[in-house]
Amino acid sequence: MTHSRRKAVKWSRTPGMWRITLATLLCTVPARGVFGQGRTEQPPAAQTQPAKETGRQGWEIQTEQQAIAKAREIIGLPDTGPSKLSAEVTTLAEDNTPFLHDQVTGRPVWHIAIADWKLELKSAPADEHDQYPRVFDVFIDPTNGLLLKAVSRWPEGVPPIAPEPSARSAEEQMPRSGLEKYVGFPDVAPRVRLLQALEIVMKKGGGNPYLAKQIVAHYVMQTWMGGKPRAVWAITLRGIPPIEPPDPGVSVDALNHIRNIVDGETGKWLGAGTCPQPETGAPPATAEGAEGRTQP
Amino acid sequence: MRSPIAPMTARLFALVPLLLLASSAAAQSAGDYDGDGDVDGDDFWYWAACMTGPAGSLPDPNCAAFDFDLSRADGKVDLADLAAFGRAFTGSPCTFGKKYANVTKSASATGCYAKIRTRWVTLCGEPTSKALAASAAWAGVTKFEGGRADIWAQTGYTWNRVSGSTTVNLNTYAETKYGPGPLDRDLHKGDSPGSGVHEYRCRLISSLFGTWEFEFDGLVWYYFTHDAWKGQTGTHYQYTAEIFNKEDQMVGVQAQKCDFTQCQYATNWGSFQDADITADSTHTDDPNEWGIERTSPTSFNVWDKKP
Repeated sequence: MTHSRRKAVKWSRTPGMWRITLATLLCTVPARGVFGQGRTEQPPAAQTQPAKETGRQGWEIQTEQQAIAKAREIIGLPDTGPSKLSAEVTTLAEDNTPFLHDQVTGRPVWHIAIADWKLELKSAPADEHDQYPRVFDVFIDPTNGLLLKAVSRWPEGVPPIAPEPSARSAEEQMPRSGLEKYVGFPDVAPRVRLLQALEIVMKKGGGNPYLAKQIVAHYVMQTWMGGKPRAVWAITLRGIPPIEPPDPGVSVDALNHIRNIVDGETGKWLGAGTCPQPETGAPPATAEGAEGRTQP
Repeated sequence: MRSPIAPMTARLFALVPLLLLASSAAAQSAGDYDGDGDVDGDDFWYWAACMTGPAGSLPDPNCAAFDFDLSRADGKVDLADLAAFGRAFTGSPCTFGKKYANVTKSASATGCYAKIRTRWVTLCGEPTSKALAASAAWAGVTKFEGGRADIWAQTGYTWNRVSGSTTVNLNTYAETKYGPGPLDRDLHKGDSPGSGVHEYRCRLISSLFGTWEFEFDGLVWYYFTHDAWKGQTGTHYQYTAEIFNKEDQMVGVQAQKCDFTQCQYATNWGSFQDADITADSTHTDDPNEWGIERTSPTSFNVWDKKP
């Protein structure tokens, strides 16, 4: 049984109607009117600009070696893992982390690139392997050495899927789903490393990381169902095989991604869902021949 | 230049019986274009698009699956590879097509509740198949309009396997459809319900804002809100066993049926009342394959007759 679910539920049941009011206030979303962007090519993994170096006074992470070591630590990279790591100070010109993008864009960050990496997860069946060679871009706050995000690049030669929603769209959608918000970045490093979190995702059924064309990971303070903020990994697997057969009229893009929440302290899998959905006005890529729902 | 896909595919499909005759018993990864662990008609569908002829180059990296003589590094997919594909052809153990055994009743429904027993199942092709498969049991509310179901809400448990992996998981889930749009769908998964009997309830708690509340064993675990549910009610409430493929085992077997008990529903945001299950409200897509029997006005059993 999911300890975390029970915890969330306890929080959610006590206050009664004010919570519903809160939910609904948060959910005044123009349902489809805001969706108008068509399917686009995947954006570059990181839209970066050379950082304006204003000195590294007060930075906890001063050197490339320190940045690489910190990225290794946060991800939990084994010594036998990928060896092609590089680091530079950069500035993210654009970021779509829901609720937190203002804390990420337009400031110097460490960008650590990890190339030629294939995931090796113990919880995967022995004869299954990562389907894609990964290049991970890891962004670290230089002032405290904490993770801002880790994103694998879309594999070369693989057709794109509908892009991730904009931060604005995600911020509209997430409160409708479990009253969810990201309220900040944790002030300590996760006890559960990213690779451990991916093991938990593989084990618990929130999608298969080996099949994800792209992995987007944030370590954030999250509120859920009106509960207190908690430090969690939010790991989105993008470009996975549809988690359900699309019914007629349902786009594959509604079902080819899933975001997992893993407790950063305890490693408990807290659930997974398709929220936020992409923004698209593109014609649905429906599966021909898929059968519809039963009629009464 | 490659021939147009459709005519070529049609011609090649005419060869399927020959390919089947030539198929070997052993599964091989070569020929498995879609990576689902078998070499079947789904893979063959891509053959025409991958055919290079003797002088071409592979149009897509996955097409290397058809280059059976790759060891000779010829980098082509041609008729010389076709016979090898035939030998590799194993067929899929999964025949896609959702199937149902359920109770459906009409009402201006705003909630649905049932106790559902967790039954262990075997999905098609276990333990080696990597085809998409699932077997679920749920209670929910659906609004049918003009023969379409554009909005619904349901909660229950699902055994599920995604394409490309042999791993099977058991999860509780809440799912909401909130309009006819291609992305108007929300699926939220929780942890395994565990064995035994568990309570599942969904109810529309706000007509004004369109908020659904989902409970598991009496505890609220998820909300979902959308304008599409503002001022709406369902037209039906349902208690359903569902599978994705004909060979997926539906929950329950003859000796250990899956019982839905204490079934209730709510109308117009009111309190819950007994489901009033009648014999004519039960349905099965094929009575020879999947059984359903009413046991009381609030309970029924389902089971797979050919697990």
